[in-house]
Amino acid sequence: MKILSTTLLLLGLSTAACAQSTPFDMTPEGASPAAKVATSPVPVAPVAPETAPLRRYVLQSPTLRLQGENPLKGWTFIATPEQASSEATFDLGYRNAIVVAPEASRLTVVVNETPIIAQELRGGEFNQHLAVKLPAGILKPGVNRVRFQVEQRHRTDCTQESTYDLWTDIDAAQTYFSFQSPAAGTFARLEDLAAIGPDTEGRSHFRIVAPSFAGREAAPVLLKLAQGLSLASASPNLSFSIASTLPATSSAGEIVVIVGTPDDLAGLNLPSNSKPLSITPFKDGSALVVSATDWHGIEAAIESLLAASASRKSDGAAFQTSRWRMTDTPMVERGGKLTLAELGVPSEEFFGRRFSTEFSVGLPGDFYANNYGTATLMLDAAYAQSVLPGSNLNVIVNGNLATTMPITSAGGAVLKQYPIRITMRHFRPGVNTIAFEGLLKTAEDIVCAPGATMEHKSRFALFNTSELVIPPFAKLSLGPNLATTASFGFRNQTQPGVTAVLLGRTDEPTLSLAATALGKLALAAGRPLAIDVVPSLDRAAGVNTLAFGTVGTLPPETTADIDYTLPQASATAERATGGADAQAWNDKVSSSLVGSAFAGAARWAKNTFNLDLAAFSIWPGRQAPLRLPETAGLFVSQSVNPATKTLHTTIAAPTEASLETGIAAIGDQRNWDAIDGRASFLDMSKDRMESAPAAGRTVLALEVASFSNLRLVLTNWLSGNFTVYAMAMIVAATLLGLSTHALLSKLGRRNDD
Amino acid sequence: MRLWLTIVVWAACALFMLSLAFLPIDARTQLVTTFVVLLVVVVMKHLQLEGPGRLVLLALGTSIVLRYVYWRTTSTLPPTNQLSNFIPGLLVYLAEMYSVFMLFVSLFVVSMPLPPTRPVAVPAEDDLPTVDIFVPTYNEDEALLANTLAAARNIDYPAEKMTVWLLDDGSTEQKRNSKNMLDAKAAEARHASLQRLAEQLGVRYLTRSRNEHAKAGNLNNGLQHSTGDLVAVFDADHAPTRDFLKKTVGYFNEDKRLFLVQTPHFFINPDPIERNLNTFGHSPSENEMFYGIIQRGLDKWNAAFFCGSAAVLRREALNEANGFSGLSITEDCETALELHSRGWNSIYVDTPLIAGLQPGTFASFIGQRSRWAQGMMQIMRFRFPVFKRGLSLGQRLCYMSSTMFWLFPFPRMMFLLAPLFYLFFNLEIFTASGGEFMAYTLSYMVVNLLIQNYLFGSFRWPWVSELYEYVQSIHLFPALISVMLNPRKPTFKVTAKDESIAESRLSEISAPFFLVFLVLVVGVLLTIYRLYAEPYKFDVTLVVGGWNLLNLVLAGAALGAVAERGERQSSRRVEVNRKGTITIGDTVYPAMVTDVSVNGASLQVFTKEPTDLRAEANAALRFEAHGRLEDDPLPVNIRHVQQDGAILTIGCRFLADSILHHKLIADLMFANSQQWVQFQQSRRTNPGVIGGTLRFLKIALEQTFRGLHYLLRFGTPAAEIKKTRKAVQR
Repeated sequence: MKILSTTLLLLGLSTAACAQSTPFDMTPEGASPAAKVATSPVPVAPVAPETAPLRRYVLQSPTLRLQGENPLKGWTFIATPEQASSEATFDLGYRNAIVVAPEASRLTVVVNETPIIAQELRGGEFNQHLAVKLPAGILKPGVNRVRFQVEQRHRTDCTQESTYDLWTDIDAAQTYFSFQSPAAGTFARLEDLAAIGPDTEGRSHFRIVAPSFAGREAAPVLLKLAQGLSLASASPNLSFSIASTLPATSSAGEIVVIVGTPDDLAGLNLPSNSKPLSITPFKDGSALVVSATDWHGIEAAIESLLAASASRKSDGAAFQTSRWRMTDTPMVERGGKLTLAELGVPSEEFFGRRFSTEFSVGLPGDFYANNYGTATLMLDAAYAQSVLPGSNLNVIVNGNLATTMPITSAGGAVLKQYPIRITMRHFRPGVNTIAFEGLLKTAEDIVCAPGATMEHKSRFALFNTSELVIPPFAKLSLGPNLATTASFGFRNQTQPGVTAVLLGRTDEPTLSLAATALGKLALAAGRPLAIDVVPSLDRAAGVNTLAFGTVGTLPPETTADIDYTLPQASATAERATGGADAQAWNDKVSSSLVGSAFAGAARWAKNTFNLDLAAFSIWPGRQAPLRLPETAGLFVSQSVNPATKTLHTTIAAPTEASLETGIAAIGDQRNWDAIDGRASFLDMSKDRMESAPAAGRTVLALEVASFSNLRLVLTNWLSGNFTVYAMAMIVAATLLGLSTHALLSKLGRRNDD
Repeated sequence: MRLWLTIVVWAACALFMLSLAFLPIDARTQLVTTFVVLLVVVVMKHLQLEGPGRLVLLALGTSIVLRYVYWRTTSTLPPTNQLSNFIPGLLVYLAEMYSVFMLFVSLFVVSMPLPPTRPVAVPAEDDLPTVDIFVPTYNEDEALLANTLAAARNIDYPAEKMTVWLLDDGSTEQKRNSKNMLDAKAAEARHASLQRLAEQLGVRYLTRSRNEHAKAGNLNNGLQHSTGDLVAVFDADHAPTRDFLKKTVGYFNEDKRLFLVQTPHFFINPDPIERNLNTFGHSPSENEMFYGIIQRGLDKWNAAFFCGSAAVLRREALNEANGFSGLSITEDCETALELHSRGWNSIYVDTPLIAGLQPGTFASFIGQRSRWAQGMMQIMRFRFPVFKRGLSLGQRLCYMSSTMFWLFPFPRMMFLLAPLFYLFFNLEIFTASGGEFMAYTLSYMVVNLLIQNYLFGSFRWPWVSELYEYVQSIHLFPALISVMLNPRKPTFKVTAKDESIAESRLSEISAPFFLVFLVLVVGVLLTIYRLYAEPYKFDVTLVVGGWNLLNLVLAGAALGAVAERGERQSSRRVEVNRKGTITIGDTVYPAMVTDVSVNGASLQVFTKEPTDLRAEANAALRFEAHGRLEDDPLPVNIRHVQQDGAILTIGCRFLADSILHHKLIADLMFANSQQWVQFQQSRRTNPGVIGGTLRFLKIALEQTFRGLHYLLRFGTPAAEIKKTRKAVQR
């Protein structure tokens, strides 16, 4: 076993930078944790560079960061039968924080419940690369499951804060399966489109080559194709490009799809094929060819592609998130209970200081309870005698701390269905990520004797009989609501029907953007959107619209909700460097006793009740256009036509350049999932989506018109507009008082008797 | 038709309020809403609105209470799988819900109280009904009875239409033939002397063979031997004013179905708590809330009830119900309930027309309250008013309010214990964050104080209810448990009114108060420890510790309440203003009687000349009597004289040796109802919630130290009990 941990395999294609060997070995003799590996991997002989085998990358992002003491990430991927049957190796490249103690740490990679790597973390800041031969039969045709799990301990520090310094970064470019069989690089069936896999950045890409894409008939068909391909592959981080020429090379994570009439394709030197859908060898791999005598024929061929990946999503079904997270996400349509087992969380015993686990739950598009709602985690857990009161259990919803519950009694306890209330303020339609965290204090950690971090004494256990209880919540479909659109692709949000698509220009970037976004929407909806490419929005009255392009190419009404005029550079500079700062003055003035008391009260109200006294208004106001910062790239905005209750969504970018970078970015699952509110934009400086909430929203539909739902809808609205509630209460009391006076004057003895 | 419409509109408004208040809104909305509503309530309260505004204010308060009830019910109960938290949590919850229920019932009762008096035509002399005045007695001494009977005889009413009866239950045949020789002899002596007293005062004396059915039986015996149209009842210590009948009998002519005119019980001496806390004369007495507001509220619903004395009843009605009911030990309320259910009416006249005595010691005060509480429980048990046939809905609610009020020891004890569950045993019986507590519980408490002060402001000052309830609860709690387990066991015990505290001491039943105080002090220490040692539950500890501290303030004030303050004067002086003369030898000096007690008076004589008026001299006092009395002098013995410029202040003792003298004393002291009215009015001010709270805190702090000081001075509470007389108990 020692061999495994010390022998590193230098593969020919590895770059020098990531092909370093371990600088030192801190493993105690004979105590290799790799002994627990179920299937003994055998060192693989170096492979000659000229027979470069196909690499099937694994990660969903350029690096996968595993942070904390017990991080776990996993997802599923699709393998073709050829890949499954091929002799294969698994390569892994990683780095880890220098403070991670190797002897107390362990990295495990599990494929289809078989650990293929299990060893100490020994990288430090240097890139580590290791490769193992996969035992035959581990990979299966179709769905496979991979899991990266790390247990890491700090070398010296026993604080909870130090657990945030514990990280292991898995490098996407260094982590892949490589298949010896040449057939593994090709595909033979339409289902194999799902095995597209990611590239070294974790992205998948369909390169649609359509020499006559600019033709009037081509655009709707190509966009339908994109939706079909998206549904067929069901890949996260999926983007499309539409171009007229073939790429020079083929690369991992990319499939070329050639579309056109035989005339269009004549110049591409393709083997002749009479079938409208065919797979042809292309460079090292394969390409999909869609060809017919005219665009109608091509559309018919695409229909057959769509039929192969017919709607897999129905109302109330789970979100198919297992391609990028541990499990599919169950849908809570109207409220209900889910055990952690149902949410894919294992029961777990924990030895460190910061326990953390994560699960996800889906909410419908007309979820409308974020102002008043409270969910409850009925916790089945135990903590040991060593755990001190003052330890905390936290629940974090979509990245926002929702609940902190201190452990208040000493001496350990077994909690049975212990309720932890979770505000639903941070919940939203679609997939919600809920993290549960246990910050465990012990006397040993306060002392922190040498080696204390290595102790392997159980402190906490979470049982997956715990339940997440979501009470029946208010349901009201409102627009604009980009979260619903991104999660459901207009499904249930408005009346079904044709969506008019407006392209600012019929050029490669605009079409690529439209193809990527529609691919995402189709995947979200579980079926392709019926679209109608229109030359102008005048023709699109009464239907939902989607506009794509740059700001300059789109009609002004499509970007009316966005203020994209960039501020003068000089003015910005002044604000940044000098001039009067109102906030600073506020702070100065309020440093008086009374002022600070008020400021303190305001802060308390904000922290305790989410009550922003500065934003206090008597009546809900209308919103101003969202001003985009200079760093904004691609943006998504939505407005509602209150008369027709149709949604008008724009996906555009301020400039051509930002449009092109935005295509792949919006295809990324993490960005797509962050789309929310009435407008979202890609902040290029932070590389993430920012959102603006909608102030005034229009009711699109009330599907559940029951009394109890109406009551909850009212509750949520009033909780958002608390001044209205206060006024209503005063009105109700006044009416009750007056009517009581009138009644009592008629009853009993009169005062003037 | 119009009434139905009003009911429908009211029901719609109530439904609107309920559905609005019972929305599960978030804490932020709650905070803003209660803040706004409280602001409106405070402003309206300061405007002292009446009429529709009064009901709007109460409805605003109700909205906050309803919000609290909804939140408390849906969000704060501990999970049922944590029984050690859930059971005490549920008990506290039920105690709170009882309080809320009682709040709503009492809001109903006092929503629109009738004005204090309603004009009534005094009938012409010939139309005046005949009246029998009953003065039941059991063990009161002769002097007390002499004053009361003299005052009764002094009532302004045609002599041929008024008969005063002394109903003596202290010298029945049963008593006179007691196996205990001493008791038998005492009863014989009492029998003889009271008969003589009655004869001298022109009062009919009556006793009976056996002491059956206690006071009710005694009164019924009086009914059997008399024939008047109306019956007035005065307790032995309740001396009526001269205008008692003139102010009450007129109503019986106007309403033929009227069975009762009740007047307030006005006391010229402090109750033991008032005396010990030294609040008498500065703030309204405890019973003024009942007689000043609640009886008027009950009267609105034709549910003012008989309080055992200071009332006039119609014989015809009593005959229909076979006299006074004696099933419970509160025969008065029980009788009223019975007659109300038979369709008879009652009226309450809010003018003090009698002057009575409070129990002298804390122990007898508690004894009196135990009787009331147990009697009300018996009424609940035997004659459950909610389902009593013949009552109107309003009457049902009113009687429910009157009887269920006496369950207060249960919630009071729960509120006392609740913080200790957490502080001592770490039980979490109320699941809420500090912020929620602020938005819900605190606003609920504030609105309670505001409503209480708005409704009862000048009759009951802030925190006085809480103190009296706490002080009674310690001993009433076991008494209630006992009556619930054994409803027929309690018997009528006469409350001793003529005890006095000659020397300062601790009450013989004060030990539990010191024990509770000690426990709460430990609770405060634990709070401080926990705030430092357990910073992770700072907010919960702060809230619970604050609650415990509030209990400690009450418990501290209670230490003062049970530390019996010694009084030099055995009988209470009342301020009067009566012209007269004082004669010593042959010299007559014009004098002004400034205060008077049953034993003596203070006079002011205007003279610059040296006089013979000096201590130890005997003199004769004459004054203008209210009643038709002979112009005879009252012999006095001068105790002290003080010259202050031209004013000579003389303190003197009455040398009462004849019935006439008792009549003069009664006239001087009791005849004038205006002086009682003025005395009451002088105390009826409203300090407001903040002023009242500060004042209460000051009292509580002082009394805590006084109570602890007494504990150090007099050692164990039970030792060295000096009573002027022991209450004889049946």
